[in-house]
Amino acid sequence: MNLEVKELKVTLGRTNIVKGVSLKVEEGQSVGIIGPNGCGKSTLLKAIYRVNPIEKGKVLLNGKSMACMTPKEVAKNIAVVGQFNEMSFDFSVEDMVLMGRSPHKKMMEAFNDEDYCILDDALEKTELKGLRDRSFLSLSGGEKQRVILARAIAQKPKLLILDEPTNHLDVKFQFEVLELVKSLGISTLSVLHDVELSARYCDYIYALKAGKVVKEGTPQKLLTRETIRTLYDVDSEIYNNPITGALSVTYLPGREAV
Amino acid sequence: MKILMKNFRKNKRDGSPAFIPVLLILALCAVLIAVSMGQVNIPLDQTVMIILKKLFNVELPGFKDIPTSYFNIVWMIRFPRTLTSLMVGMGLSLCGIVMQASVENPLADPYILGISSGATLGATFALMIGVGSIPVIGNVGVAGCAFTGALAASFLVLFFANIGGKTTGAKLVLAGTVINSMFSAFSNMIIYFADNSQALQSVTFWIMGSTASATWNKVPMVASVTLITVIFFLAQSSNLNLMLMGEEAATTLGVNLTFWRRIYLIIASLITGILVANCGMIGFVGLVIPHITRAIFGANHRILTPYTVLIGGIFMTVTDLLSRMLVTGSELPVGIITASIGAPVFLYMLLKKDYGFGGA
Repeated sequence: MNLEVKELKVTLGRTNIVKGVSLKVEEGQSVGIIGPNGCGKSTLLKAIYRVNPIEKGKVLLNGKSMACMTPKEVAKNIAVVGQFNEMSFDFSVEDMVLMGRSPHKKMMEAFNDEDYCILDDALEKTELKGLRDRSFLSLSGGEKQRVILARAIAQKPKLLILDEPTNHLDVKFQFEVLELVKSLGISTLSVLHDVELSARYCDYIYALKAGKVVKEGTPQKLLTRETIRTLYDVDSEIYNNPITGALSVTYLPGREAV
Repeated sequence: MKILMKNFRKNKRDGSPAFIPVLLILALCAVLIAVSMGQVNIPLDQTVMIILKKLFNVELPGFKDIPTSYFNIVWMIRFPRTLTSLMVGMGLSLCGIVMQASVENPLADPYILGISSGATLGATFALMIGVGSIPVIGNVGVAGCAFTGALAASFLVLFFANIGGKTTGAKLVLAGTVINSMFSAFSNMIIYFADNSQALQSVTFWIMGSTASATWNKVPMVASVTLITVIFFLAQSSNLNLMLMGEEAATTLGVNLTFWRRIYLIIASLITGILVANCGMIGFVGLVIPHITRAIFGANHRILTPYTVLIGGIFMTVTDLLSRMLVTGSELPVGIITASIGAPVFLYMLLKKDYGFGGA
């Protein structure tokens, strides 16, 4: 499944937040968006998954305009793990995850063995088996986040959109969640707060500032001192970590720019 | 209760709401008892005989010995009234679930969208200004005016909540509150200026709610509307579940939220309007019954909807019986009883820790 966003503009209230962003997610590719607070990352994602109204521009899913698709059709292809999962009503973990199956069901259709298999699999992958009968609202932030991820997995999407999926997670689960997402082998579009994590798990990164793409490229190419400086106004040192071999960023706040 | 819950969990897998037969039997018992008891107590077996004879034309031995007065009390007065109570309880508690899901707010009840104040305004208008004397409109009567008022109010709320493009649960609730106070002000103005103490008493009685005016010619309307709506919403349980996930999650899970929300609210307003027009305003049923049921059986609508509807029906049947029995020689408005039972139960649940009403 590939996703193409063309010259997208989003205005909320009177503020023009996303000012013409184009990006592409190829089949099986994992694409990241980085940028400072308030640069329009989440607004852009929400416009793509159709919660925010699109002012101008197009979102194409496999070449087909998403504006012409029904919510159900979209939900069969795209799953979303959002930033806030506040709910006013309580459900058991099992019920929550099962809801991921509903886009695949007709109005009156009951869940069948296949759905329960997918449920078990999703719970297994997110290590939630022991919590399946617990009430969702009684869970910790990290556990809630895993339930939402399990629901997205149960949805069997072809594209997964993640908005800061590691927000409430412990270090262990941060890596596990991202490994898990990677192991699904589907296209992903994610906003990650942590630049090092995006470097590690994304094949391609778009750097967003003030509603515009200021730079794009592979992590190795994109992540430079200059990029960090432009995005976050902070000086830094970027190097290959001698222990892990992965790209590392050390921030050096307060140091005058050279 | 614990064992009940455990048993229930076992049955959950196959999605069969296991207690439906139990509740159906309870409902039947409640109806029979409510029909037998009252100012005149009629033996249960005779009540059953009368109902069997009338409904299925089955004549059991001994039917001939039943006095005609019993026959009239059971068939002409109590049975239509009890059926109406059952339907009102089912309808109001169903609307409660639907409204709570649609505006995604645990405080919502059938009256939140200004329906109550709209109906009150309609009824006050009819009773105080006396539409009875005006041709054409006069035939519609108090019920018709109340229904029109209820619908007008809920459409206004939907209209206001939709201004600025996106309807959200919060906007709907706020618009409902605004319309509520505006319409109440109008009603109070009419009451203040109209100097008619007799009409004032009927307005008061109407506001407190009562099924006393139920007759056979009103039952088919109330029953068919209620039952059709129940069946409709039983088929919508998956959408209702998804709505509780929050607006964003519901959208990404494939629900056309704007569309369904509007449909659900209009249907719920319609049925509330009809119920209110027939029985006045019966408070608390639509709020309390869904919460009680949710506390016992969980929020999954596949199970919640049938249980709530049945429990609501039983609850109203019993409270209606109480309204006839509590004061000898007189009758209490049933709204007073539902509120005085509902409020303490609600408080109890508020104090109990394991049901959060939403706020975790």
